[in-house]
Amino acid sequence: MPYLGGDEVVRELRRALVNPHIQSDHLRYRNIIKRVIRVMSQGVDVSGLFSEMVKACATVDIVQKKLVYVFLCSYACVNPELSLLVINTLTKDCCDSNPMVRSLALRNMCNLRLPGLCEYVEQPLMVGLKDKVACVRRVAVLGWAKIHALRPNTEMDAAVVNELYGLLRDPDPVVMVNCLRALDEILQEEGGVAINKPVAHHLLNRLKECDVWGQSEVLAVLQRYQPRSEDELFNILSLLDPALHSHHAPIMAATLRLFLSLCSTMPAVCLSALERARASLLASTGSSSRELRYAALCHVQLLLRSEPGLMGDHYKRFFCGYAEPPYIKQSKIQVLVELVNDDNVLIILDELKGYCTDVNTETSQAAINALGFIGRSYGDRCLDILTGLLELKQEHITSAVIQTLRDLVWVSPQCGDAVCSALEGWEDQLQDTQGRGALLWLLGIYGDRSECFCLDLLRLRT
Amino acid sequence: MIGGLFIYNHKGEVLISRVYRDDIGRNAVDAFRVNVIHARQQVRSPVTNIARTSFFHVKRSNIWLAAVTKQNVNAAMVFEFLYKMCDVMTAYFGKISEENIKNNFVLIYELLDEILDFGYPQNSETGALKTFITQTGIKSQSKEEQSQITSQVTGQIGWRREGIKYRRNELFLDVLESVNLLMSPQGQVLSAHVSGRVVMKSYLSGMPECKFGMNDKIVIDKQGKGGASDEAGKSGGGGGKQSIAIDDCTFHQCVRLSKFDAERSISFIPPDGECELMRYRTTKDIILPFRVIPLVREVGRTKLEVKVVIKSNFKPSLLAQKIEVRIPTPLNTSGVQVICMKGKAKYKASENAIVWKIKRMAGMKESQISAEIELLPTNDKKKWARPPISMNFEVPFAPSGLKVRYLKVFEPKLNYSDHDVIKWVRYIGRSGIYETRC
Repeated sequence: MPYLGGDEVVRELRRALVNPHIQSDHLRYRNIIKRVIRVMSQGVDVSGLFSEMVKACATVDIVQKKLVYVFLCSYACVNPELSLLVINTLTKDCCDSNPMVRSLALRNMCNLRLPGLCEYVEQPLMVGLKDKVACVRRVAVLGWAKIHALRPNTEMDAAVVNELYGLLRDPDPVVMVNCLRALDEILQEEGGVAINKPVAHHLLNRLKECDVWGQSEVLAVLQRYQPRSEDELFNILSLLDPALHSHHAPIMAATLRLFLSLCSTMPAVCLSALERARASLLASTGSSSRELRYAALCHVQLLLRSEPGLMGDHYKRFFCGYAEPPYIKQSKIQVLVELVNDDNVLIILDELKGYCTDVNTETSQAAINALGFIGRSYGDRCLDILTGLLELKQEHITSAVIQTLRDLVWVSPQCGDAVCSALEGWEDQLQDTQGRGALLWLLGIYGDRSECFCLDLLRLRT
Repeated sequence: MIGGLFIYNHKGEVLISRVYRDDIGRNAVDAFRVNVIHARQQVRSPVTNIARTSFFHVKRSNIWLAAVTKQNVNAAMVFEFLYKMCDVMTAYFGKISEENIKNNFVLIYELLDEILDFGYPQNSETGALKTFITQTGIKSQSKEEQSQITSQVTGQIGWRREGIKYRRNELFLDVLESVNLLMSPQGQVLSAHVSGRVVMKSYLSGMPECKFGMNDKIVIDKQGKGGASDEAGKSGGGGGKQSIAIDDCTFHQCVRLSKFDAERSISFIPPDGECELMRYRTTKDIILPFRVIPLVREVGRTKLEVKVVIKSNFKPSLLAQKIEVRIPTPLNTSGVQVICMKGKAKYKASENAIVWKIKRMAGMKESQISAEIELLPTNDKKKWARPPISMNFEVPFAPSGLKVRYLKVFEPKLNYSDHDVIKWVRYIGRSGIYETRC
């Protein structure tokens, strides 16, 4: 890491940048600039090279321009006066015939993040909104959002807001989605972009043209819309139905959220929406990537709280594979606990028993706690399993079991007798404070039932 | 939305850092490193919350990619975006490794600029990006090239440009499936599903319209009902041929979904080169290529006798390849003797498993391996929780039963017809998580 040699490197680069031989050779010039950026990425402070980089900005080579802009955007806040020199070049580029250059210049003008430059930037941005080429319009729209972020207290010109609303009808779907995002940010105090009937219908009709990100964005924004009549509501639901089965997890999640908020007053419709989405949710829980599986499992956990019967028959999907990472196993165990009913309790208990001996201590503790939860309703079977676990004489398992037994007894005292008989003779195993504390508590409650316990108590104190 | 994107190597050094929003400070970079990369415990979850900031991360080989945000964003979308970012980087410079990232950091900054503007994901189709972000840099272009590129970036058919010409028009279709199975010791299927993708490599001239048909149950039922009075010459409707019921499927952007909804036909104008046409899942009527029958017998406390039979369950004319069976052994194993007629079996102490490799196996055959495992005597009364027997293999058919019925190409403007196109179809079924408990 060249922290130590920082000054020298900067001096060497400065010498190279002002060297006229290098400046006349495009390739060498570009390579020097690449080195500056590399050094910048490594953490060295190269802000001293600002004026030289500004001069490098005036070039026809697009790659070099991009590099210089990366540098300028990082250091502009340190050198606001010198940044003004760049504005001339940028403004000229905004009128270039190549649309790539125009969009690049616009984007970087806004990325400079200098409040003082706002007045120079506004004019090219207004022109950019009306540009013929869509990629320039996309950049211009987000540019207005960036400007607003720089000056949060000043009012945005009403003409701009109107123009942005108008651009919601743009033929390019990315421009439309960018407008939504920009309006959301600009009109934050008023609650974001106003979705009325024509806007909502327009967005719904164009949903299919957008890519994955656009669709998720539109679906999130549509939550604010309140349909006026039931007919309209059902029309919207049937239009969005295919999106519920999308294989792209973000779209499915956003659609489900929209459905649930639209039908919050009609529980029957909510339920049928959840049932339709169930297949895709289950598919995501089996997805090949761990992170999406984890996100889907979190969704399922949330949904089960409001609709416990949702996943009833599909409990087998939540059985853990041997090699899954611990965070996924723990989520699945929590879901399995919610799905227990009379029909499947034996099978689920069998599965959980297997997980109690898992290699990862946290997972086995989670499985044992889960057994305790289920034990509140199905006491005897769980107690059998828990006492069986004690026989394994594994320290962390014994400790977790004792704590679970304590919780079980607290909630349902009727299994007290069974617990007592199981407890005799296991106190040697415990080393950690949690387990010992639990055992003490149990002894305190049931000490009178068995003589051996008093002796045990004495032994524990020593 | 996404406030910042950071890429770290395995030591926690920052390779790339890009901050999009003002609410993410410089200390976010360090916070992630200290709390996640250098955390002593194993990673708890892919989402970490530190001081009201959420960090989403994905790990590829030993490179960490982290997205940071302070707002309430759609988690699945952030992960999908991180995957897309990895795909795009792989398409440009191959494997994601520290070396490659350092050599191409200019490119990555360009990509980050283009794909994620102000923290919002923009156009991320690899095909379109490759036209205007190239590694050697763009020299000044002629007017036609400029307009072509912008129309591809912004136009109706963003995934294919006009004027493509090939001498030989070829179309390769790969049906890649991954079959996952969890079987109980008694031989009952606990859960099974197949997830598949149809990948198409098209080298076709012009803007051809393609139509793709497979033995989808709904289509065949429709045909069966409509052609009930027809002669049996109508390829046996729903009765004779096998049809598959697809649970759910998604298509590439180029497929016209309206036609799919109406008549269940998949018609599209393909992108040039390689693309993933559709992705699907089935859970019913899966052909399980292998059946594993384990038999474990404990002889006293010092020996374990294991016999595993694998039966291949497909047409005798087909050959499965790269078959590997892993039989886990207890931790206190001292020695193993294996006898197997086919393939090679070795006991690997470091992995606590007997690995049995068979190069090739035909359908409707049986192979068997028996092993005697000697155990060191232990005082542990702990019973060995037997991990399941897992298998890996590759079969030349689709375990879901999917068959490509037809693939037609129409290009009215240029003078080549469907018969002139050379088409290849290939089925590759791989094992995903294929476990049998014992």
